[in-house]
Amino acid sequence: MPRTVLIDPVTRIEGHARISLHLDDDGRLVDARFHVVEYRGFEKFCEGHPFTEMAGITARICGICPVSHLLAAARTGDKLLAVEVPPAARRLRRLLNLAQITQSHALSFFHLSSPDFLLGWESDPARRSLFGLIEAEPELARAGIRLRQFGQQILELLGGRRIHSAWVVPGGVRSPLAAEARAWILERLPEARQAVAAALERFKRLLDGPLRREQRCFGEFPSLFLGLVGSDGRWECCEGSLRLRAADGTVLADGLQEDDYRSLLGEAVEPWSYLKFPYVRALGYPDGMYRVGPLARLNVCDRVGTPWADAELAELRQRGGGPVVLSSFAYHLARLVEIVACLEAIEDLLQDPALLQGRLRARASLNRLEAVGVSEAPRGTLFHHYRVDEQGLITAVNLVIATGQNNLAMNRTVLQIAREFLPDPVPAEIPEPLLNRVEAGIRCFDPCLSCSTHAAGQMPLRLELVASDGRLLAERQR
Amino acid sequence: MSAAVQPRGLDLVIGIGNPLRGDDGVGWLLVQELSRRPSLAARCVQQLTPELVVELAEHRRVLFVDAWQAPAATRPVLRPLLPHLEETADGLSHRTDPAGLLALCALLQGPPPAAMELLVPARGFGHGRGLSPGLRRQLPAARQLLRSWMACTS
Repeated sequence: MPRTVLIDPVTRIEGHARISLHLDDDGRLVDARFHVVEYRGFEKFCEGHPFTEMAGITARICGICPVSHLLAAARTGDKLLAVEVPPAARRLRRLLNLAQITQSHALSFFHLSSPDFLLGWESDPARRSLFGLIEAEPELARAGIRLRQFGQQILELLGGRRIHSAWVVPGGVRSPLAAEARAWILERLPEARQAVAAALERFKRLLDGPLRREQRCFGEFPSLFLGLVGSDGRWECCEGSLRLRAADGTVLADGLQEDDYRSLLGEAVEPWSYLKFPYVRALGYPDGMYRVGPLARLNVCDRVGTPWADAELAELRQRGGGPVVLSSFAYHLARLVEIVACLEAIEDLLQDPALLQGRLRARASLNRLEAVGVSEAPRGTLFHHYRVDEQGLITAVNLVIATGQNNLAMNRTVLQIAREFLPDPVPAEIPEPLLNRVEAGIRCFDPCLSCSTHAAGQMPLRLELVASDGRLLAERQR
Repeated sequence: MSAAVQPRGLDLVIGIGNPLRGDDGVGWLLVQELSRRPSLAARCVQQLTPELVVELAEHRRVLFVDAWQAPAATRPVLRPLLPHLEETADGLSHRTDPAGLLALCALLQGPPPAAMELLVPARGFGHGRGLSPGLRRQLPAARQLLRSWMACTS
């Protein structure tokens, strides 16, 4: 009899969703769907507001990555003003984003995902958390918490607060980095480097041992990868241009400006989710599936450009079997490599005299009526697209969020994991290890549903088993 | 609060709440009224996250200031706080309470600072920045308790 397995809610991610597994009449798994079931409608209620308020408004979409929206909104504002952002402000914005990526990746790896790796897939769900990690591996937990605090503290030192700062504005930033703040960051950098080195060493041992199967079946499939790269092909998180690379390493598009995103990307809608399904237009829907985020950024770049991160990137590629790493499970290792890249880049920036010199803001009146801004959020490429009237009031907004761009790949990952771990025949009770692994498959992408649907709330997990005629045959809920 | 590097080593005051939800903003109000001095670090947060243990461990004493949803209470209270970790469904990934934060500090950083909490009875948690008349009447007593805690500083 055809059935569907439903996981609702999904836990330890940012937002609220459920997962359904669909079986055919012979009990074979035929489809998996990641349903995002909340909606907030930021794109609509931004209309009528001055574009200068967009950074402050869109930052409220999320408490984890408000910096990403601040930066994308400010970059869109730069273009509406048609100004050149002063060099010091460009560097300070970069410093902000490097700190943001560090703290967000630390949250994802240490707080949300490492309990699975270190405590085991079959461990008691009540203990499989940061609390369990503190008991089992206190030094690693301590290092992770301090690493995240390091990133958050830099955000506060720059913007005056850890979340929802109004420091980045169209044309630049509001204030410089204080000398004592620079000294504090430099003082804490060695400890941060030590923390990520320990995590890398610990995680690689797990990859070489108990996590081999997960690397093979957690979303290992060909897809395209999209991200920003610098003008010399370096890893990039703030500026640069878009590059699209295929699974075999071929560069399909390079040097693309964000203004052309609509010619590159389409956005499909499915009736069972509020999360849109972006795809590469040239390949159509759903064949134009692509991935963004830490793994994509490392797949599209030629090199990071700093010594330790470049060595880690080489090892990531060697472990992945080629220049383009296909397993979604590699997102976790990619996050650690990106933390290394961020720490090295932060150190370089702090030694750059231009960081502390010159003007911080270019001022102008409205000079354009439409603009697209882009930034690399921790979870991937983020587009803000605004149209305004002659008074600078917003008439239309489109936000293309990283988690949405990974939507097709997340669905594919869930299907692959379910095929690997769903017992045959499918039992009446949904087994805990399946539930946990399906959740963990989604967690590879560190999805932020608050951002991607612009929705609020936590993300508990429900798994449903549904017949082909729509009847609910089994469910399991945390 | 200020973007400057905060002083380390002596006293830390943490205001907890959402200043956009009526009486819930009283912790922020009282902490933001504090005059700056070298021996005192102050911070306002909407929720307590695990990362705050790093700052806790750098101070000798900590005071949490929060709205108190306790219908029976009629006056603000200042009371000692002991570490106690209650496991929650979200596994500490995003937030905890003052006692939990102290316990986490003890687990990860060593002995936590001596802690107290200043709780102000609150009833109105609707949207907006205004405090309810009942809470406004409690403010002088709350400020007096805050001063008494401050007076114990070296």
